[in-house]
Amino acid sequence: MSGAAVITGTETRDEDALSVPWNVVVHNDPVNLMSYVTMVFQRVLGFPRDRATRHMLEVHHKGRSLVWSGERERAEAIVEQLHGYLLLATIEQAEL
Amino acid sequence: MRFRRAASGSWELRDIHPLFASLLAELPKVASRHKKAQARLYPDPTGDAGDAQLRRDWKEHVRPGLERLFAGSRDIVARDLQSLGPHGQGNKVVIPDSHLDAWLNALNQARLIIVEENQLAESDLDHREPPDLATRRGLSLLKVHFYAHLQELLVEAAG
Repeated sequence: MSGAAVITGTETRDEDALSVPWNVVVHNDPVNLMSYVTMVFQRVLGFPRDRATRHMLEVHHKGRSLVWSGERERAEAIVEQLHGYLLLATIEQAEL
Repeated sequence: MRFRRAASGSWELRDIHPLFASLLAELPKVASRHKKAQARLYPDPTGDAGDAQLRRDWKEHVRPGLERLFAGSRDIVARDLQSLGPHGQGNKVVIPDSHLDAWLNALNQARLIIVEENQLAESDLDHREPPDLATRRGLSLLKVHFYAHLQELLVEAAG
């Protein structure tokens, strides 16, 4: 019985971990041009121009912008694409 | 230097001053100097110091693809630049529409590498102070600004 209880507890924690979304965060760097970053956000994230510009400005002024949130696998794929465009991007798990 | 769309649909850089032609000619070579800019060109996918597994997986599975992408971009640009000759003697470059992304990528590689090699800070990169062309650092800034100017033109073209 005690073993079963342990397994149940573990499964619960895994489910919790899976349900917590992963964020894609883009960080500021002094080299990438504002127009280029806006273009990349439009292409990779499918943002309309005004939303892409808003996130670009957030990166520029605040040092980072959360641009996407969801499943980890997709978050990693987005970061890979952003690295292909030479943007500084990371994934991080959202706080509960 | 003029940048315009040709009747063929390609983009053309024409009437390129010899100084800028030489900077263009060396673009693929500059963009391939990855040694001192590894951390910036291939950044960590996570800021979480504890996620060593993701870093290992990234290095093993993602980085090779990025290296191929970057090398492929440099190769495309190098072919487009053949019209300039090895030292930039020519004054015209044709950029097919399908090559715009490769150009943007190679220009970005080159700018990031120059900044890393010369430890240029954000304050160095603003345009308020003209670079001192008597110094290596000033010449590096000139290259960064010239490549940025080209990037701006190409982003507009790609949009």
